[in-house]
Amino acid sequence: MNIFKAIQQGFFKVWICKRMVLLLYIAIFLMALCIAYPLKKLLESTVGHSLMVQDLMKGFDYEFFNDFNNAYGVGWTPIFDQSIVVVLLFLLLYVFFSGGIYAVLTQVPKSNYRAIFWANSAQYFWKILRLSLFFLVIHSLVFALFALLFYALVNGELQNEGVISTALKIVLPCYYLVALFFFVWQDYSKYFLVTAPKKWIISTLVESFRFLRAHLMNVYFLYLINMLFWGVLVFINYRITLLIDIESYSTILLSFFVSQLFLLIRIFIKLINIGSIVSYTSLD
Amino acid sequence: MFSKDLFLIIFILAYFSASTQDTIQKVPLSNRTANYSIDLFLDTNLKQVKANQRINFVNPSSDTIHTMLFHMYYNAFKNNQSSFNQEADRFMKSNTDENQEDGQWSWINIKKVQDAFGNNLIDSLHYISPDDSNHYDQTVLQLRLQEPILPFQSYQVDVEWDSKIPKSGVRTGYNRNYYFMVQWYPKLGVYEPSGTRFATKGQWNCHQYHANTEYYSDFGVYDVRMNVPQDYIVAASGYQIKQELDSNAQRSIYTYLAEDVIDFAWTANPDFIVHSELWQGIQIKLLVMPEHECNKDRFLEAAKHTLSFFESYLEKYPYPSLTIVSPPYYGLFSGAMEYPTLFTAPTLCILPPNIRTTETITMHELTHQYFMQILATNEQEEAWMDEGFTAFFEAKMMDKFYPQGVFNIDYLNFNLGSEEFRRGRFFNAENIKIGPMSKFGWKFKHGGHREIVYGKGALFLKTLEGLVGDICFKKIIQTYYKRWKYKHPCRNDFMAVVQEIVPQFHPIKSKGILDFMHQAIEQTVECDYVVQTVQVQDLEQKLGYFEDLSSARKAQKDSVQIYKSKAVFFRTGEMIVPQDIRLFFDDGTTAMYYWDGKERSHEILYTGHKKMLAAQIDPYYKVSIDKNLINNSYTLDQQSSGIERVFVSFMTWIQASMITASSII
Repeated sequence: MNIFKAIQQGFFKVWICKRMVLLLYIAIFLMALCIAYPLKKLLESTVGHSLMVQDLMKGFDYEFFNDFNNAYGVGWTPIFDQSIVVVLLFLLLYVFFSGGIYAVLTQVPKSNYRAIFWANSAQYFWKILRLSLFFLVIHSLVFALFALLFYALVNGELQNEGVISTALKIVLPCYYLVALFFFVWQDYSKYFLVTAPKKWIISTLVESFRFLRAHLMNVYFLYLINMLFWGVLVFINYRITLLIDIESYSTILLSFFVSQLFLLIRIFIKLINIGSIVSYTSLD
Repeated sequence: MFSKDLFLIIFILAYFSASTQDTIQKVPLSNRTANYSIDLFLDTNLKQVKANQRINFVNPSSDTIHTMLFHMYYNAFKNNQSSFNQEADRFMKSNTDENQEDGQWSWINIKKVQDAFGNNLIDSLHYISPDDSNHYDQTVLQLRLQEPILPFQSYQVDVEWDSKIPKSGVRTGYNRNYYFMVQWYPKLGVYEPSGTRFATKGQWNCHQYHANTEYYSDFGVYDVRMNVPQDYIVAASGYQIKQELDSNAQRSIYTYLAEDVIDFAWTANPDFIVHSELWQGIQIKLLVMPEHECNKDRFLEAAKHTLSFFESYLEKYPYPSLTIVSPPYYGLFSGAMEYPTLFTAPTLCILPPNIRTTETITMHELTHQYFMQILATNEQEEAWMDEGFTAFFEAKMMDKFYPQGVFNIDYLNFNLGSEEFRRGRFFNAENIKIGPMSKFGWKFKHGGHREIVYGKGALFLKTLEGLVGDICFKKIIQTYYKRWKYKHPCRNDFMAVVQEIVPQFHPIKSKGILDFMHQAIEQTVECDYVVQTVQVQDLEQKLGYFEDLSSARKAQKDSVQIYKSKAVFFRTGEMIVPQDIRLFFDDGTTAMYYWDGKERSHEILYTGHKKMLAAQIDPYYKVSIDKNLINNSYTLDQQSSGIERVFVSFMTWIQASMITASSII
């Protein structure tokens, strides 16, 4: 199947199931709020009556944050601890949602949408969790391998710092290409796990690996195009952020809405990636 | 007659030809107390220097001197029991573990010493340890003279010595074919006559080499001939007089002359690329590795900014040459250090233009030409007098010439200015009260020396400038410079200038300012002033009977509302600094008050039809030594806009991080 057609179908599938995008967005929004709101309260209770707070409107103020850290820095600790817990909870939630996302994008149901989503989320949670842990180990090993390779290239006394940049120029693209394979494998494994459930995860891994071996170039290319979309989106987001000169509440609000819009699109693109995988695999 | 004229012409020609060879400065800038003539041979195979050195010392006092003290810095790297190695942390370690295991150590050794009377003084040498009685330390050598040095008379001594060069040592040494040679020769201590600095009687000031301190030496003339392999490129303090080739031996002999300087540094490397240009009468030379040439213009631009700044602030750079050495990556051990008319400034071409370390280091090290080289303070005893002054002026220049800061990125207007960076460096120290600025460097045994001398030193000057104003401060620095250039001032000399100048500009406030100076320099007290609260109370109209019962006072509808406002201020730090206070009122007006800052708490009351909205201590940010600037103001209503911005940005980052993190599971 043509990979562009897969992307197109992936787009339409996500568009039809756009409530799923909204669900993910709301989950992310609420969990981020759990982290950000305590910071806001900390700032209000410690420095809320200082005129120096106005300097924060201009952007990052080193002097403010340095003094804040020295005088009230103890307040950071619970916020950081809480952040870690909330992010871990979100990752678990995303693992939970994965089964539902793959099932809904495969079936694109016209009715019982919610029932299918929640049922598959619950049904495949433990299996996808084990799969995720397996790939977490794999990703770590791949990263460690390339880190060692980088270290080996720059080890010893260097002629100049160019050795470091050359090593990075070699290692980073290689790492990217190799690591990408495991990310692709992970996504396709999830698909096979949901659409053709097996007793053992290893069977799913083998099945998806066979599929990747047969369609390696196409799945790679498909993934790279999706990554490109993501990159372009982040770049546009960055450029637009620079254009907004924050001087008042209204500009803060504008900046917030713009960034939320881009976050929504990022979730959309993330699901398009899954949608295109589903399309490519099921229609091949 | 003819023969007389001819003789006169020959004499004049000979005089001028000799003068162009032997002197650069038309008039001596300094007393030229310690003068050196050195012939050295660099052995790149054995990594050794062999040298013959003639020292001509002029007794600056009415004392009769019976000994001479020499710094033998390379002996700090002679064994692991030297004071330097005992004090050094792992970053300052003078020798790698591998070298130590292989028995590779460095040293400097005097083989022969003879005075002008022909006396052989080799048996009159012995090492002393004036600072810590460490008998393993051999960095100070005492020479007992057979003929004393009479008051104001010169004394000549010839020394033959050799040394083993350290590999990648602290500030000096070699790595591959890069040699950076500083503190490489037997260098005289400073003879301080009674009344100089803290000397109550004539004495040598010659401390051991300590891990966290630098140097102190006397002014003089250096005439140095460096014999190096032919393909090596050499640069040194002072001015290159000539370069001779010995093609048979495949050696080059470089002759350099440095006048009115306190030290002599040189470097040799066959791979250097030399960029040289004459700028406003100064020969600026940049020695840079081929891979770092990309930053050539950044060095030169920053150097020119610095020279221009000081030409207008103090006086024109007085030497004919300035050499910038950008070491190779494997020579970073020598980086970011200052020597007379020469300094090192490392750079990396992989750093993007918005990271301005190249400019910062160039400005900093070049500033040392004024604060350390010309105003030759004692870097071991009072390091803040060179590093603090230099850090202060570096920040001032960086913020002037590179307003985007030491580091900036467009996102969120991230902009790290040089001054705020210095301030942060001090206040982020583990213990900002670990010792006063006046404490000797090596007595900071538990860290904090750098934060105090760089950070607090610069903050003290910045605060002083804020309190006395730009014009008065400039006058202080100019007077201090004019009075003490090419001499050895100490903190008392600087404080005396401040005490002299400040009352001329601030007759009433001067006592508070001078008290602040003493606290900042000689004590460990910290500064923190707080606006504790602003309170406003509606004053009720007086209603009812008061004086008699004939008529009751009734409410008047047209009466103006009266408010009683109060602002309360705390001094939570021990340091006392005079403070300006600004009050903000609801009609948009402000009022300024002066508080001598002495009481632990202070209040300002205002009763009138205006309502006080906010109070601010130090509204013009004069007192940057205050450790918490956030609590320097208090508003009646909460300031939420800035907090909202932080909240929104933080929220967005967390959301984006969650989406990204979900990719790995």
